Amino acid sequence: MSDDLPRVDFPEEGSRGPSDESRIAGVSRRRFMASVGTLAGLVLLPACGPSQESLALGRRLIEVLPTGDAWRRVGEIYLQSDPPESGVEALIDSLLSDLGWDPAAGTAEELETQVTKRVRRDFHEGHTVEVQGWVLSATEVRLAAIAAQV
Amino acid sequence: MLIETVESKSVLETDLCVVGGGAVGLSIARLLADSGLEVTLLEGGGRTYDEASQELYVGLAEGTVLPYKSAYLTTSRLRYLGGSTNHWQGWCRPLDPVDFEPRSWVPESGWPITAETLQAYDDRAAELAEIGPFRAPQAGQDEEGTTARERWRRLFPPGTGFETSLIHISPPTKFGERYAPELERAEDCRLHLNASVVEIVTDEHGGRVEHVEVVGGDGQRYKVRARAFVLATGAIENARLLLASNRHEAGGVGNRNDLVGRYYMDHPFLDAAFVVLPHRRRVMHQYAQDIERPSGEQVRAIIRPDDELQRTEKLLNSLAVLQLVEPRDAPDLARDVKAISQDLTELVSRSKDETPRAAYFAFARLAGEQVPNPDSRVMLGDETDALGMPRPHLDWRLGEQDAESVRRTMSLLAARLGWSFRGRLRLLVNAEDPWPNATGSNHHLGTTRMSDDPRRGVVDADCRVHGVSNLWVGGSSVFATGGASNPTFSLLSLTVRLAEHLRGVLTR
Repeated sequence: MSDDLPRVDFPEEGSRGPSDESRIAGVSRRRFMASVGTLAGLVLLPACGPSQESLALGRRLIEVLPTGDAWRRVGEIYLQSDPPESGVEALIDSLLSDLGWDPAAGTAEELETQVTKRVRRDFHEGHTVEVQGWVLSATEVRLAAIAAQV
Repeated sequence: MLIETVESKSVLETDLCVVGGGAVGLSIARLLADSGLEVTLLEGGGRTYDEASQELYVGLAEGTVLPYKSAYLTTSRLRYLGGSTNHWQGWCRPLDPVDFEPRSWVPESGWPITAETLQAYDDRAAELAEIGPFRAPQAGQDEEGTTARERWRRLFPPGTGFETSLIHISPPTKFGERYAPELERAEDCRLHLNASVVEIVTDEHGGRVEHVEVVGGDGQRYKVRARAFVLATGAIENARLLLASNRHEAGGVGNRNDLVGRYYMDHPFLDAAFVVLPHRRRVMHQYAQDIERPSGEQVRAIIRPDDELQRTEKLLNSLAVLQLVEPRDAPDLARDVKAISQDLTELVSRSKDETPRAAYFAFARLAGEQVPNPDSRVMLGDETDALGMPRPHLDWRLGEQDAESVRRTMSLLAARLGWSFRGRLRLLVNAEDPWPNATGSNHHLGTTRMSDDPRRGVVDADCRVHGVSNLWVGGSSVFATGGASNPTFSLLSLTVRLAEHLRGVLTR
C-alpha cells in the first residue's frame, strides 16, 4: 500500500524528518544499552535469542499499552506469517529508529506521544502491514510482535 | 382514462405513445397531463403481479458476479403497473457531479449534460418520489440540507477525502398505486394494461417510428401510431425491444453503430471491509439504519470518497453503508484489533483530556461504479417467449479496474481511519478474490447510453435516439456512466427534463 494523502494536513507532526529520527534513535539505543550494562554489571549473553537487555527494553516499550494480551495475539499471528522482520532486537531497532525516542532519557509519557504520532504518520505515509487483512500501522505491528516475544 | 378493450387490428392514434408503465412512463404521463397532448401509456402487465406476465422476463443471464444467474432477470424487476417501484427500497440520492465529467481514467466517461443540468429538476423528482423539497436548504443548513448538529456526528470531517452524504428515503412510493388512479381520471391520458409492445416499426429508412405493434391481454394485436414515442421499459427491455425491432434494419432500431444493448452496468454490491469504529452510538447508527431528521424526513448516512479524492486517486465512484455486527459475531482478531485501536485512542484522548469512546464492529457494504464496458451487454437470445419475442441474453461483465478501485478505496479508507484514530479496517477483498460475496444491486444501467456522438451513444442529450426523429428513451438505460447512487432519483430528474422537452417539441 502506498497511500499518500496530499490534501490532508497531517496534524501534530513535528518538523523532524525520518533521517534525523533514525540517527537519534540509533545513538540513543546504544547509549541505553550501555547504561543498562553499567547498572547491571557484566551480563553474560545467551548464545542465541534476544538479550536480557533487549527483553527488558521490549517490556518497557509495551508497558505503555494498556491491553497487552490483545497486542500479543496480534503479534503472534503476525509472526506466524514468517515476516522479514521478526527478531526482538531487530524489531526494537526499527521501532526506536522510527519513534525517535531515547530509552535512556525518555519518559513513558514521551514514548506514548511518540507512538501515537508515529502511528498517525505510518497510516499517512502508507507504512502499513496487513495481518489477516487488518490494515495496521508498521509501528503497531512491531509493538505487537515485541509483545508476543517478551 | 383506462382503456378496457381494444379490438384486434385496431390502429389507434395519439400524440405521444409511452411504452412502459413504471416510474418513468407514469411520471411522463402525469407531467404532461395538463399539456393538452393526448398521451397513450402502454403497460405490458396488469394492476398486480401475475406469473404469466412475469414469465415474459425470463431469459439467460451470465456474468462476473451473478450468484443467482438467470434469476437475476426475473427477481430484479417486476412486470406490472408501477414496474420495479413495486419492490424498490426507496433510496434516493442524485448522481454526483464527478459522475458526469469526462474522466481520463474511466474509459467512455462523460455525459453530454452536467450535474447542474439535472439539478434543476431535482425538486420535482423529489415530489414524485415523495421525499419533500430536495435542494432548498433552510437557515443553518448546508447545500445538502445538513445542520451543524448533524455534521458534528459525521465520521469524517471535511477535507479528509471521505465524506458523509445522505440518502433520502422514499416511503417507498409505488408509482402504480400512487399515480395511476389520477391518470385513469385524466381525460387526455389513455392507459392500456396488459398491452405488450412487441415491435417498434419505423419507416423503411429507419429514421422515423410509424407505429408500435401491441399484443393485448386477450392476444389481440393492434397498432398505436403517434407523433412521438418514448421507450420506458427499463435497461434490459429497452435494448431487447430495439434489437428485436429489425424489420427494416438487421441490427434493430437506432443501432447503426452497434451500440444498443452494450455498456450494461449495475452496481456490484459487496461486503468490502470489516471495520472497528470507536464512536458514539448515535454516530454509528445513522450509517446502519434509517434515521429521522428533526424535519421528520427519513435519511440514511453513507460514506463515500469525495469527488476530489476520486480525481486525485483515479477511483471509480462508490458509497458504503454499515451493517453493525454484535461483538460475539465479529471475526478472528477483531476484538484484539479493537483493543489495540482503543489503546491508541486512549493515549491520544489522554493528552486531549477526553473520555475514550465505545467501539462498534460493522461490515462496510459497498456499492461501486463500474467502467462502461462494450462487452457487458444485453443481446437477443435464441429462444422466444410466449409473444414470439426473442428472450433476453444478458452478459454482465466486471473488469479488473472495477475490482482494483474497490480495493484501493478500502485501502484509502483504512488509512484515513488509522491516522485519524477513528478506527481500523480489515480488507475483505484482494487480488485473488476480488468479488467475495458480491451481487448486483438490481440497478440496470446503460444499454442505450447518452452521447452527443452517435458513434458513442444511442441517444443524444435530449434522450432522443440518434437517427430516429421521433423516438426517445427514458430511464437509467441512458446513463453514460453509472455512478454509485441508486439510480431512481436521477432517472426521475431525467424524466422531468424529458417531459419538459417533449412538451416543447409537441406543442410548438
